[in-house]
Amino acid sequence: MAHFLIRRLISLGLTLLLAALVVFVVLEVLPGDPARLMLGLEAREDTVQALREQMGLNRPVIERFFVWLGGLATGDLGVSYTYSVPVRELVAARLPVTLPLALMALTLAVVLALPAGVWAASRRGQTTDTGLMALTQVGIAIPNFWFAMLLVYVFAVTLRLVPSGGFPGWQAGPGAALTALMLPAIALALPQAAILTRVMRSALIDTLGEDYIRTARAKGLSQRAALWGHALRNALIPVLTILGLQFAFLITGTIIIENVFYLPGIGRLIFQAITQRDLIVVKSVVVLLVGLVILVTFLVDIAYALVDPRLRRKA
Amino acid sequence: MSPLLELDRVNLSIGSVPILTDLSLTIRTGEVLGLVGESGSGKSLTALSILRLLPHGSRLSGAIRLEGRDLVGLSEAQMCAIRGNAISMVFQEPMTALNPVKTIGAQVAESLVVHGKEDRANSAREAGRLLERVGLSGDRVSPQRYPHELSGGQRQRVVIAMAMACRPRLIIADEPTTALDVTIQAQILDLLKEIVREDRLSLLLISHDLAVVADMADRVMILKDGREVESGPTTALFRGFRAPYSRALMAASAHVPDRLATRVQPQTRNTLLEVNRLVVDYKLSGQGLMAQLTGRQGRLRAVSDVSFTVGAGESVGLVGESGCGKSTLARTILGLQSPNGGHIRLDGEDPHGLTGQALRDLRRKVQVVFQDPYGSFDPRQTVARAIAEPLYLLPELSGTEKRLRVSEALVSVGLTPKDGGKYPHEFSGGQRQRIAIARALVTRPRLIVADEPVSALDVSIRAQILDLFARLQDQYGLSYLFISHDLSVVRAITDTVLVMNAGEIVERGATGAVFDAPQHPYTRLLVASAPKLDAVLAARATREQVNA
Amino acid sequence: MTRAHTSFVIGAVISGLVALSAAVSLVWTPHAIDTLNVAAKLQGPSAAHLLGTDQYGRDLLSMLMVGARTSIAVALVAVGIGLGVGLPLGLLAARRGGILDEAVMRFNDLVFAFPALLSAVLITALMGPGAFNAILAIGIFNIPVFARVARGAALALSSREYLMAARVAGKGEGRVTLEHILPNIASLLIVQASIQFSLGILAEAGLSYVGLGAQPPLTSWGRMLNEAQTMMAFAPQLALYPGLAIIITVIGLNLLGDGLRDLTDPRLRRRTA
Repeated sequence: MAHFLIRRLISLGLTLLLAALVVFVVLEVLPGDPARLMLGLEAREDTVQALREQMGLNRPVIERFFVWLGGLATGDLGVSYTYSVPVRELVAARLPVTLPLALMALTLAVVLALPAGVWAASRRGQTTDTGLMALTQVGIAIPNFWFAMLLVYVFAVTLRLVPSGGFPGWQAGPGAALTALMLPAIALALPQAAILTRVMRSALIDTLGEDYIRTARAKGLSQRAALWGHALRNALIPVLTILGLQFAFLITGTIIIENVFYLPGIGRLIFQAITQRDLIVVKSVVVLLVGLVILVTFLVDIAYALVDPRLRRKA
Repeated sequence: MSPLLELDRVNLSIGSVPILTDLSLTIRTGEVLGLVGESGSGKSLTALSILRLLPHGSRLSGAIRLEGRDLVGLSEAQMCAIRGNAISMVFQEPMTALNPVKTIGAQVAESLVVHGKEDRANSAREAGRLLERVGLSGDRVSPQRYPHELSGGQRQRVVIAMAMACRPRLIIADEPTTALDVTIQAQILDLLKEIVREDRLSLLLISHDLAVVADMADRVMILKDGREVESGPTTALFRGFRAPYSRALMAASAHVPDRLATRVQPQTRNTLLEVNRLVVDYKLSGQGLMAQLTGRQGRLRAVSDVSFTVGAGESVGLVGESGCGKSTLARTILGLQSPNGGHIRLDGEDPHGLTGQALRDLRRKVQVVFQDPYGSFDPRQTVARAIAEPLYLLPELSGTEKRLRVSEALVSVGLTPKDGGKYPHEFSGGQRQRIAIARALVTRPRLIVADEPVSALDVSIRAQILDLFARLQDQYGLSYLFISHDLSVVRAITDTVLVMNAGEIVERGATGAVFDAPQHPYTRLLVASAPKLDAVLAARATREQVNA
Repeated sequence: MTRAHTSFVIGAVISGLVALSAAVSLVWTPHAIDTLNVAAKLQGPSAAHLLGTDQYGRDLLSMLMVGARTSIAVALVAVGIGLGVGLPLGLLAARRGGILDEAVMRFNDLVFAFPALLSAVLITALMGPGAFNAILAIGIFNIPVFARVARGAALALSSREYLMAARVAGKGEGRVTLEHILPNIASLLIVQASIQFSLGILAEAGLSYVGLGAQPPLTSWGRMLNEAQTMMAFAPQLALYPGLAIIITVIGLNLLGDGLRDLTDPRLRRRTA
């Protein structure tokens, strides 16, 4: 297991490094002159020159990359050009909206989907199963931000049960903050839950057809006991894969949905930065999010090894 | 004495397909009943009927009485209390029969806990004892191990430990050794015998192998198409089968094709294939990027310093168990794998040293027949296209000539040119193996490498395919390199034999001589482990005389 | 008719209708949508405007038809990128193995870390907004998807004896791959393509909605939702129609994919044969 962990850690570090390199190349090498790109063609040359100084663009590319990497490692993300505030502070202010929202949605999706998938698999072919599967078919097809707009219209505009958007901040008390995040979390979670339900169901149905389930039944386990005792853990392996992939979609979904609810999260920060061509903010925030996705993939790999002993040895 | 288990006119159908028809049988306490049949005879579904583990859409009627109590009418919950408790089962495929994410100890202990034999704390200790009893002592194979860390034979021992955990009255073993090597088979059969004797339990042994059944069973029933053909005490039954089907089965299992080639003096043959000090290494898969970049990956010597020759018109057998390197050797001879040392000469030329047209000219001289009649054809190609594929080596042929060659090949294996328009899945396993042979013949090769070509076939079909191999050899003067784990097949079709173990040839010689008087300890073990019907019946007769 | 047939037929009909209306929009729409007519804004459904008009007086049905064109084009080209790059990569990795395989897998891991939205953010920061960004961002994410499917499917076939038989017939690695592997994994790739196509439509909608995709005057379903956002309180129908169009199209494509998968699954086919 230690060997496996070391191998995965090396691979994690390598992927993080490569991802940072990709972002750096796209935003600092490809444009030729990032300062000019940020300020536009009509900007005066001395303003552009000043920005070049501030961004350190006069130094060699390789050096800039490693300085930036060092900054990332120590938490120094530079200073936003438009806000004149350290990017770290901007991110620190926005993460408490985005992360709890993503986690709420993920939890909600898992809590809904896994039992629903198991339930459907154990009633395979019956009306309840067919009905649930039809429902998930629709759930998969709904764009989550459109669903969010619908929820706002129904619960906020028409029924006036919840505010239609905005975020009071955690200092307003967890109750108010959670209420503000509830609709967005539901809008994010339901389409995800639809996918997850289908994956859970088909994974479980596949494992229920395995030889070792027949062995368990021949031991005297009931269909139910074989499902819970033998099939479920094996079925979790493909479910984990999808869950890992879904996290990436969840992060991007969160960013999009913040737009619908006017939530002051990472998503708003990115879009404002893009509109204002603040590449310093874009660069750091994209790298943070990509790093987050890579980290989750790593954790899923570790979870695999915990579920499946075959992987621990193979490494 | 009243029977332990009694099947009384059992009928089973799945969907609208009848599987078992009026099947009646009895098993007494302490008795071993052998159930023999070819694929599709319904023998496995008989086992699943007893445990009521049938697929959806099955209809079961008649009576299945365990100590007088009819199981057919029992509720699912009542059946759960019987499965693994009074009746337990050992399956064919040990590689997939165990849950990959649970330790073997936990899986054995579960059998005990399910039926309330032990509480959780004691069950682990008892599981250890059971594993010890089936030969997996804790100091060598800990109960904490996972199934993937065990060999096939060890896994089958775990399955047997699970089956005997609750001291059942009856164990059903469905082809328990078919997936295992012959030396492991002998060990597992010995273990089953020992358990039956010591625990005085009954065994329903399901097998396609007459020799295995003759060795193990007190009584035997022969099954065909879901009906009983005949049954009786083993010795009496084997002494004089009444039913034509049983006789045919018996004859097929001992079938030796008539070959002209056996009458040729070995010295007079020209050498066709020469393998000289061949070494083939395998890269171990699953290695990481770093290991590959630094070249520190593991290597496995699959073929180690192997030399032999195959004469023109000669049939050479290559015998060994799984993982001994025989398939790697075959791949290297076919030019699919480069050797790491030594060389191969086919008709005086080195296939690994040639390119272009010269290589194509050499390649048409050696063709191949594989084991799996299902996997050896691209499902999207017609039979004619599949057979024509090796003609890629003969670009000089016109379209008409190619079609003619395909028709000839089809006819020579006993099919018709019209069959070429069909798809492989429209044929039975035996017919597909004929098509595979036609594909090998189409370039008019000198040597055919046959890798377990009859292992997946029922005995009656196997006899026909062996006859075909023999006839084609006489007709075309072919040489064969015949690879098999089955000694009786090799004995039936080859002149000389090579015995391979752990990448090396440990013994060689005329086939009959090697099998009658093996010299190397490994060959001795192999020959002793292989079930032989005559020997088994003779031993049984002596034993019964002593007892009487 | 089996369930697989039913899925396939319903999916094919829906997808066909959407494609057809997009194609028709190339030569004809009920109304022109490039002229604003503020006098006719926010009308309800009528004989002249079957679905009504938007806040600029444009005919919603016409907008939907033209939008379908953009959405389909973006998703289709993105699938093309994924298939065109991912399929050779996956096949190469599976057949060559070793370091190349390892490198392709690491490349996959890397690209998987860039969901379409983040790629689109990067591309937009570099080149400014546009529908092309959406195509590229979605297409790039499709590459590892197809590479993975092709690799897995090719590996599953790799021990089939007919591949070895073809090699014995003197055929090289490339020829064996083209003649035997590609035809046998084609159905899997088609199914995956239909899935990625429907995901592409969803992704395009998301990107255009947040302003990283199609820009005016080009319209798409996501663009329409973007414009409907501010009108949500008094004209929710503006958001309703494009949303429903997306949902129906995606369901159609998914049914088509499910149907195809079941129809080409040899396990199921053998049962019916």
